[in-house]
Amino acid sequence: MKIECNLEKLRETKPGEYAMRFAFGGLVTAIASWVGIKYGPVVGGLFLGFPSILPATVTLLQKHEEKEQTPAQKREAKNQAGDDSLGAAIGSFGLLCFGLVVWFFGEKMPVLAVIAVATLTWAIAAFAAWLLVMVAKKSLEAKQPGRRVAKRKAA
Amino acid sequence: MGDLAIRFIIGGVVVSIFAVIGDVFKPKTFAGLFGAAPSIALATLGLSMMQKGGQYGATEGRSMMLGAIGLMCYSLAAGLLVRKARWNALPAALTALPAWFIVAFGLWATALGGSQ
Repeated sequence: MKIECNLEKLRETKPGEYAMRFAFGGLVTAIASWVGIKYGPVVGGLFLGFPSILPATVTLLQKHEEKEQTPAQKREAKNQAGDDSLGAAIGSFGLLCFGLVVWFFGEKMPVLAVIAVATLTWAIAAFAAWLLVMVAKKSLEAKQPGRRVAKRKAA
Repeated sequence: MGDLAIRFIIGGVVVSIFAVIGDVFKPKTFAGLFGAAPSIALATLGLSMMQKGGQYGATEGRSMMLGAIGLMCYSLAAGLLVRKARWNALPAALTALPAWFIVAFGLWATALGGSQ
């Protein structure tokens, strides 16, 4: 599976859409902080895993891709938004590992070191989980070649 | 109030950065990894730990793991609603939101005994 980076995609996002993401992200962060202050770190900590990026991202993704007008292109736009969500489900494993590192080392290491190790762990765990899922998917498709053809026909 | 305003700004910036990174990558399953980035944690955890100590952060980290399982279920539900049920992205993202609350608070009530 080849990973591609297309910086041109940044031009498709309008200033208002960047502002919407900023506001939504800021609001969710402020609410998470307020819950922590009001109800303590046990309940507040739950909100560190609240979906702050995904809702706006998948909505914008589908909106952008839907500019393509044919039914096939619209179908592909939905697939892309769906894939983005499923990728986030895989990436949540990385977030879980981030929390694990903070829980384990929170009291034993300086703050910045904990955050740095946890972030590195998130990146490695999320990428490893994604790689594992992609390899498993590919091997499943290789074992059932008819599955992919049937899927294409159904589409 | 000033503290919350600072967190609002830092949170907005961190979430925007991860969202932009996710925008430029393909395939979208890979880009989606950035949809589950530790954005709120990066924006708030450092400040909390500096103000209230490592134990406070460690407790938040433990709860964060439950929130992450909630996010996994939420993302899976939203992805399946779009991919399999062919819903539009926004209604799917909103309809799946209760999944996060049910899983995260369900785990909090069972695994942590509903403690504060």
